Amino acid sequence: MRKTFTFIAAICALMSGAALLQLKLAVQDQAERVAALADQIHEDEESLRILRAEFAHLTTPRSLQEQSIENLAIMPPRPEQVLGNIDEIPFRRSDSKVDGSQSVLLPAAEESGVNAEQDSTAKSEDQTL
Amino acid sequence: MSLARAQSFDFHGADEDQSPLAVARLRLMIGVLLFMVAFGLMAVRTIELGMTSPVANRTAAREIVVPPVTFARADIVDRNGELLAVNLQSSSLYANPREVTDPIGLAKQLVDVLPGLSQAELEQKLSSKRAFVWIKRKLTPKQKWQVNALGDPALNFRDEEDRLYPHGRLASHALGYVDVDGNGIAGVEHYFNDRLSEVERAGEPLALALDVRVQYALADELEAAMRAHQAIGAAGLVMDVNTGEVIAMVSMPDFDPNNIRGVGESERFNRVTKGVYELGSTFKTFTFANALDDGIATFEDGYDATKPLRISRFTINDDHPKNRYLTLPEIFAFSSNIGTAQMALDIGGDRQQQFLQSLGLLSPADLELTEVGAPMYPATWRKVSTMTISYGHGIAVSPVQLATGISSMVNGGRLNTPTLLKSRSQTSKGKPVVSPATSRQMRQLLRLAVTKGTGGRSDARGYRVGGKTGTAEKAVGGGYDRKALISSFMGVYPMDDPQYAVFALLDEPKGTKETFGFASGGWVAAPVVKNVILRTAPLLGVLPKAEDENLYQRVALMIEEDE
Amino acid sequence: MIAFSRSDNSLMSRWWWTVDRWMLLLIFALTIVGIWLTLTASPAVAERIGLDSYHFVKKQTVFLTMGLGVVIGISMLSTAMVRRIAIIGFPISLLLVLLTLLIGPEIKGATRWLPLGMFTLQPSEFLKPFFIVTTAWILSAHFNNEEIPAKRVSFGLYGVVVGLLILQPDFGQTVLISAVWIAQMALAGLPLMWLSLAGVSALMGVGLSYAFLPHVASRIDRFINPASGDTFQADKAIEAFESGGMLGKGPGEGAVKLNLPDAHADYIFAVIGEEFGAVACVMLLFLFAGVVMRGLSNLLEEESAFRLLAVAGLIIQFGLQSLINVGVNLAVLPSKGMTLPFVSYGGSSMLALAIGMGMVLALTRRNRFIQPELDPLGWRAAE
Repeated sequence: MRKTFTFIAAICALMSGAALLQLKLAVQDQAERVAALADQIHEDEESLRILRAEFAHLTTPRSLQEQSIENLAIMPPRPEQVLGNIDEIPFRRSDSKVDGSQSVLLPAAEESGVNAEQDSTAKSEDQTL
Repeated sequence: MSLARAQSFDFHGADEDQSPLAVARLRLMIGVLLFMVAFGLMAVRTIELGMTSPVANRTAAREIVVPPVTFARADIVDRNGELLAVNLQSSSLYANPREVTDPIGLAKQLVDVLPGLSQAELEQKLSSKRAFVWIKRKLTPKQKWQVNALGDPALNFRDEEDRLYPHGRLASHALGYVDVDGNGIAGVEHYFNDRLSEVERAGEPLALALDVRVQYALADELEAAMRAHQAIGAAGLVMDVNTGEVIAMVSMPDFDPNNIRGVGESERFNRVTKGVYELGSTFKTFTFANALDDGIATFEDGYDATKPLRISRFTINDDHPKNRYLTLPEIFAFSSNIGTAQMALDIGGDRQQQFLQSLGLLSPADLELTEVGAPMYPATWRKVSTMTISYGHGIAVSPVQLATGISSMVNGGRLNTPTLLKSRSQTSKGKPVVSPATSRQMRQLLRLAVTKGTGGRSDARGYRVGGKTGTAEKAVGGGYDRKALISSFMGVYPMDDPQYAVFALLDEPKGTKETFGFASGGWVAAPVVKNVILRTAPLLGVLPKAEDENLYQRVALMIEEDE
Repeated sequence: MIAFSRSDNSLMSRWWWTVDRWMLLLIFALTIVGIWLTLTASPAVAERIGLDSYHFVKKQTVFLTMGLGVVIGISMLSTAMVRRIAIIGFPISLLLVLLTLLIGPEIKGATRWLPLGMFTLQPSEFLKPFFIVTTAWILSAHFNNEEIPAKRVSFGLYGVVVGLLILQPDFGQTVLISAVWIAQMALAGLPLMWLSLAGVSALMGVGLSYAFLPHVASRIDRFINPASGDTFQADKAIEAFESGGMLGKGPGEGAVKLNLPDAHADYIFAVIGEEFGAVACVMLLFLFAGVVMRGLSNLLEEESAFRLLAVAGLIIQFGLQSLINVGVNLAVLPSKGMTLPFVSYGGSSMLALAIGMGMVLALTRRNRFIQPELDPLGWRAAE
């Protein structure tokens, strides 16, 4: 009995030892992966610096202005376009029609015709509900 | 071994009478002994090696950390965190000529890859007896790859750091530049060299007060004006009047700090801080503030400007002569030298000097740059000096000094130290130089000088600009050159709650058809200020609004316009 | 363990009660240590040469299982059977060695390996146990009949074996076989004068091989003067021991082992030094010393000249091989291709040693009922 127990204990010890070693090797593997990831992060951070510099270079106001003139035809805002207070936004005329969302403040284009009519009727139905 | 031999010898004679098995057993015993000794020796050797264990590396750090990105010099950013200067890795190529077998062939290969190099010079370098010669500093990644592709063992790279200025010429004078070893040579790079190269703070960018957007708007407008008026130079400044922060600083012509080779003195010269100019009528602001603050004159007072003023051999004229008695607001708005000079005489030379001294106009600006110019003024402050200095002649100061002084006139009377660094506080903590009441009066005067006087072309609608023109003839060989002007405009906006001072200066502008041939500050510099305000006020969060006429009405009524 | 009744007269039971169980236990312990160490030492080597991490572990487990089977299988044979196997095995392995010289590929400047389809065989490893037992048989004949020119015959065979080994060339095996043969001759009653002559000729042999075999010369040069050449392996081994210290860095923690070229084979002792420490190394040395002591002390009561010479030869081979390997690891001996018995990775060496130790067990079997005093350590006390 004692012998059997000793034998089983010895087998268990050997097996758990082997399992432990497996675990350890797996942990080392993971640690290597983490180290590799850390290196990757380091490299990415370095690239990030370069990209940030490149971004700053590409978005320097001069080139933005040139691009804007070429592609957008946007000008600096005139003083009357700059509104500092929500109260300065004029109310919509009550008789003006609206495209789609109610948040659109511009009056509907006259030529949008039938569709706009339908939209606005649908809208008014919504409101009555 | 000796033991075994000795024993064997003893038993040599016994070989005959003992059985072979007995001999074998005896020798076996000796074998066992030898093995024991041998194993013992191995054990001793093992223990000996184990004992010499290096204790130092017994404990290994198990924690994995991301290696930090290190660089030798801290970045410089603007007030919004926009990158202005950054250190990036670059490679430099060197060779070990002792390992070069075929200098001519290698030189030819290198010239093919790096077109900037000279074949003859390379051959000479590569056939020298030294062990180290630089071939080319700071290669592009593509060039590095090509050189690697040559595969010559004598060629090697050394990783270096390169200082890059992503915005190029923009803000070149404020930033300055570094030499090839990365030491700051000019600008904040030089002034903060120790701080920027401090290893512990390399990861912490140096935040400047500059705003690249405003910087660009100012540079763009000045450049356009310079081109239109064929000026030889220009300077511009935007300053937060409440904190003294320099939001933009432009000096033209400028340079690219990324490539400073071949850049001349005139490009490197910082006209905003190093250049000192007779700034003309803008100085009247100080004379008026002085008189009003000291109670020497009030808005209701006036001076006789019917005829030019004569003092010893000088004659003081008005550029826009009205030839009548002028009230104080009129003198300011019409920029009357005659009136101002008389007021200065009432103030007195000593008090004037003391007042200008208190505004820091008589000593170099206290700015974070080494390129600051010392103001120029007469060593002996005579009566004539008092009179000319009152309207900005006979004294030369740098634009940054002027902007600092004007800021203190409008911000409630507190003088701030100008700074290129972003400051945390938004309120003025400077020492008082004039009373808040005087400051309010000066704001009225400055606003009226725009609406009614010479600075009309600076009036950006909605932004309530106040300001004063300044036009001075350049001193040439003891006299003044009537053709060579320094035309400037000092604007502040919005006048009912001053936020920013905008200064523009053109060096030797020429009149154009659009300006009817005029080249004075009101014609060439004021529009620059107006455009800059229109472009940048939305960026800086200053709202346009309709003017409250009541603020100026009482004073405006004192100005009687001829038309 | 497995309970055999003493009255059980089966083959297994008879084997169990007559075999030297202490020796069996020691060998079993060594194989367990071997698997363990292969597990910690070999993945690094396997990964370095681009194999599956457990490539060597798997193969070594197979080899050790086979080895244990061979040990137990051979240990069941009778003395006559062992002799017969050796006498048959000796010429076969001799032929294989010859074949190696003719068709074997040259690896690291020597032709020692015979490619056999899936695996490669190192016949010189198998030559050792068969030659030793054959020598014992020849020499023992002399004990019974003085007329037989046993020593000359034996010398002739020895000459053939050593000649083939030198042709390979395999300096380590030559030295080992020579040492064992001389020891066996000494046990067989070679006069001391002849023994000293053998010593002198051995020195001359070393001198000659130094002069004519550049392979040997460079190894000896490196050992005597480390600056003369590449002592990378020896330096790394020393570094491993030093890094391990007395108690080691722990299983799997070794760092130097990652750079040790033969960490799983010839230099496994250094890996033990690094990961388990000098104390564990000494314990392992005790295991080897235990095998040697146990094996040799069994012979003190031996009456059969053949058994005495054969077992002594095999045990001396085992002992010397482990000593030389440990000595190389500790940099007290010049580097040679010698494995640590039952611990190092290697199929041929493992199987050859298994054959050798199986023969030792077979030749030392006796009825311990009748001679209980031969079991002073009291295995039966555990019953």
